[in-house]
Amino acid sequence: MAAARNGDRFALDQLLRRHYDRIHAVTKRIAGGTRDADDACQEALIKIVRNLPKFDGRSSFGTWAYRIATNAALDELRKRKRRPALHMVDDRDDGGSGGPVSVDPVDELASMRVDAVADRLAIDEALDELDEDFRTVVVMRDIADLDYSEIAVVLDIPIGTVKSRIARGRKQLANKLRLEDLPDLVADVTSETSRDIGNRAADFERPTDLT
Amino acid sequence: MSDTTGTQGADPTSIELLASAYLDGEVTPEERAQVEASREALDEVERLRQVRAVLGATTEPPAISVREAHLAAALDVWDRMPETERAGEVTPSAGLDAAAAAAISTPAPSSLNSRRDRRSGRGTTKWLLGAAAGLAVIAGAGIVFQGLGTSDDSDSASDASEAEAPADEPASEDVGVAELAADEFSGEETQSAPATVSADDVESEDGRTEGGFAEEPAEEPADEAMEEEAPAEAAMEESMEEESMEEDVEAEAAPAEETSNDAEDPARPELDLETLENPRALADFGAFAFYADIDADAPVNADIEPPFNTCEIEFAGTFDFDTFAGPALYQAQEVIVAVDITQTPPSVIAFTEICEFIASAPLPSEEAFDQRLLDEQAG
Repeated sequence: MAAARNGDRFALDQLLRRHYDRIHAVTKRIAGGTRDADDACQEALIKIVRNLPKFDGRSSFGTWAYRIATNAALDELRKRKRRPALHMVDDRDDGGSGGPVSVDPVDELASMRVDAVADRLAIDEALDELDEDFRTVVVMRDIADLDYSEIAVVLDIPIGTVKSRIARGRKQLANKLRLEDLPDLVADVTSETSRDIGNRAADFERPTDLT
Repeated sequence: MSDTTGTQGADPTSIELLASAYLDGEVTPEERAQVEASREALDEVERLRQVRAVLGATTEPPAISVREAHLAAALDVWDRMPETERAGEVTPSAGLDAAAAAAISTPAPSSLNSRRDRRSGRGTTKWLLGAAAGLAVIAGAGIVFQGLGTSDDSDSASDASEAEAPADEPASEDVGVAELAADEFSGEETQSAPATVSADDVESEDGRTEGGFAEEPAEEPADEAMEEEAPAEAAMEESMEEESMEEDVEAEAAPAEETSNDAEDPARPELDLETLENPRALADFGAFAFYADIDADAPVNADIEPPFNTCEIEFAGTFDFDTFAGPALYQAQEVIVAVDITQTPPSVIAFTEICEFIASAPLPSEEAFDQRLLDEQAG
């Protein structure tokens, strides 16, 4: 962090890489699984770079960066709302709503992939249906792994509000997801031995802030 | 486990709240004991834990190509930032300069007459798009506008800063675009006059002073003045190619300061800011920039992101700026004016360069604004 601020380009590259996955995850989950999320991610990175010299270190770099990512994602959401006609097309690149995914039913791997995509789409849909206030805090907590006080700082709301919004958001998400309909997924993600590395929140590297 | 103490008979909402906080380790020892004593609460914890796990498990990492493109773009922005900005040495005055630069890339003439001219398409403006860095100097038929056009609006100010100061011209390190325009406009004048854009330098056809803001792209061929500017442009482009440009700028800073008549702050250009005396003037100032911005034939600047966008972050959740109209004097205070169409009603916001909110005014509708211009023209 210090090296990056001192103009070390390599250090800056490493700093951004260390936080990239989480920044992307935050923007994707808040802005939705569309290209808007990629735009928000790009926007966030550029803002981070531009404002890095002014970063005063009062919060951790991660908190600061995810705050920017959250705001960038929320900005994209607002822009989308202002231009609904231009963004009604779901441009998920995985064929999410573009029709059935064609696979060979005897291909077990393909079948698993279809299941995984379906699961992801179900969660995307459930998240999309969540009120923006709830979705934001749930994403910040469960994906960005920010603690309550950090979320409160980012959103400028009291910790009590963070607490209640997270609880209500999770509750709504649980109701929408109907986890009892996704037993395989639940079993998979709650099993320490079967999960894919780098594919759950806990596997996101929690960068050690040097500030 | 049975409910022995904790949540038996408790409000389900409070159980959910407790369970969620318990999952996050955000409970007091008493609350922890309360949850652990209740089967219902523990079941809820487990349910929420599954939700959290599922949510995390289905966050798909981005494609490598996407990630690399994002990182490359961000690093490119870093590479193009002036050393002063990277070092966090951008002064408040430079903030206003940045505002000016951003405003320049948004058409924002400062008088209603010139606005009317522009919107009625009479085309009185002579203009010249600048070099790649975005510098433009316009002079012709008694009308002088300075402008800055760049394909990357967000870097307009920094690019301008980098582009300024050909080696043979006096300049200071954080000189603004306005200063550069003045420098390049006339060699002799630059020698004797403060390095600023004064009212004398920038005057519209109707005699009203322009605030040093850009006009719309010209549809007319450049005139003699443009030809005179050509060598200067070439020199500027050459200087841009030199990696040692910033050192050159620093080396030349002293002469500029010596020749400046601005005793208080020789390095700071005197922006000829438009005076906005009341909310209506503020609204008009923002409205023109905003509606000009979405004119089909106007430069597209919808996503202007000037270097002073820290205020966007500071204002996040309160304001979401769509268009930066530029700097101005609102009730004798230097402000940056921006338009926020997410407000109800859409509003023109004035704030200081340290992100202090000063005033707001409702953005007039385009029809109302047009009518106002027509009325003034008729009257």
